[in-house]
Amino acid sequence: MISHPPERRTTREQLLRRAQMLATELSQHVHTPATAPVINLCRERDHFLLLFCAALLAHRTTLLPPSPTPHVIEALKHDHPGALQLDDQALKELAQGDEISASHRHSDPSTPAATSPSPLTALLNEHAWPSPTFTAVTLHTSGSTGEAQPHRRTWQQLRSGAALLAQRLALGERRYQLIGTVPAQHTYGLETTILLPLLTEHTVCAGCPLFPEDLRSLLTALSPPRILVTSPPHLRACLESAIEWPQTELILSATAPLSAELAQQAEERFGARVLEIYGSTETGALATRRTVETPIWQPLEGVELEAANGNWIASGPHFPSCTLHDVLELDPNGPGFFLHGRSRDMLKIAGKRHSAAALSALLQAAPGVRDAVILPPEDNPWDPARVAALVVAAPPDAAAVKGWLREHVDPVFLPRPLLFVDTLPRDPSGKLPRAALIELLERRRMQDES
Amino acid sequence: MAHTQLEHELAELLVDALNLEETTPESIAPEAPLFGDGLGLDSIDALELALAISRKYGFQLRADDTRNQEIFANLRALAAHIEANRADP
Repeated sequence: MISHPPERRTTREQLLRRAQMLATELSQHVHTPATAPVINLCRERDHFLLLFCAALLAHRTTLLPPSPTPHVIEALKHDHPGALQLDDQALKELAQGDEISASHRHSDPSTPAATSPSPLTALLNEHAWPSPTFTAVTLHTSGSTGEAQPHRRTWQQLRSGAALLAQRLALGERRYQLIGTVPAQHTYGLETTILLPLLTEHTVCAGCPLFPEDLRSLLTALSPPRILVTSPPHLRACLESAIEWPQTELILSATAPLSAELAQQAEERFGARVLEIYGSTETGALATRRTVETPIWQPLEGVELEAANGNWIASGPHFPSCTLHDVLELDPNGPGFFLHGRSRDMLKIAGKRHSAAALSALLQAAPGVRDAVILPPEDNPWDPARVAALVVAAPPDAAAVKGWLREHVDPVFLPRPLLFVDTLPRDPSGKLPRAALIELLERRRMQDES
Repeated sequence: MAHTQLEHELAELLVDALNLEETTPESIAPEAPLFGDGLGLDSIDALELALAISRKYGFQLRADDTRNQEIFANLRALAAHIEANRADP
């Protein structure tokens, strides 16, 4: 199940055996209610998986915070008195002195996947797994959509989601090695880098690399075929680095729209198929598309989309039915759909409507622009009737960017002001929290005045 | 404490690459933390900084999780790391 580094290679059986020990350890050494939830802050995938499985086997819900910042964790603990909070370091200390986290140097390190034949049903009998309706995970939405909200997933929903995703990725009989640059605490990282290795035959690298060179060296150490799980900002950093990338059969991208241009570059430089996943914390993965081939998203098997009162309601076997925050348009020629941005981002200026997300995407495609975001008039301290834009570009040429934009949208949507910045305050999953954007605008505004 | 030449160069690169508008290079203390409570940089800043460093000093930053914290602990540690690894000594 864990493929790399060599001293941490682990089969599913080994991991579950240790998870069972850890589950016992948690109940013996920590004086909290036996069913208190676990806040899993581990960055390393093997630690996350170990703690996640231990929680499952102890019938404890895993709580995943939207970010690892102290005040977010405190709020979570306030809502869940007695919750156990463990990160990589705490897990190591708890497991010290026994065999829980010890590396299995004597195990056969050559083919971890091959030594674990599809054992899920056998394991279900062997271990005290929770019932299908047990709330295995509570995810939380991040700040960009207002107050942190809990989103619960049952054990059955997690298993269905992993199966549907594996089916869509069409990986066939080959066993892939995954590596992720996104945190396991978010839906996307959880579904790909945790549930796929746990519930299918593919394996995952323990590390969560940040720098492109770290990623290159880990990717190279994995034996093909490989899957890179990443996000648009990270992919851009990788492509801008003068690094020669090893053949990577599949790249997954989510959390923000990926431009067709970036997808094309990634396909060429990595020799990869680049698939974008569309989903949300509320739903998990809903649809995918190969960005270089089509703008149309194909829903996962069993996902249904229904229009109701101007909103879209999604239902599927792996999440509770809910209203989407995005504007969809069904493809008249098939089961797919177009995505037109977030409904709450819908701009209305001088009686004309445009999606802020679509406008941001347009701006991102302007000449010389590397990253950009449109802020709605209500967030614009200079002119409350116009959108503002924060743009990362080299060289910063406002006339060129505005000229390009003018060719594509109604002039009422031209940003006033269009500000150049060196970087946008994206969070680890690539999202732009509204509070951070407003703070950035306010800082610029105060500078202008001083 | 005064900057060495490389520390000053690096402070300028930092302010420039990360658009730390309200910060002057001189004001970045060599031993003050860059992340968290210090300058408040985050992992996306680290990516940007790594890119700027690779362009200017001709080598790719590498770090496993523990060394990552050491290298990016402060300006002095980062300068020492660059001194040891730069392609144009």
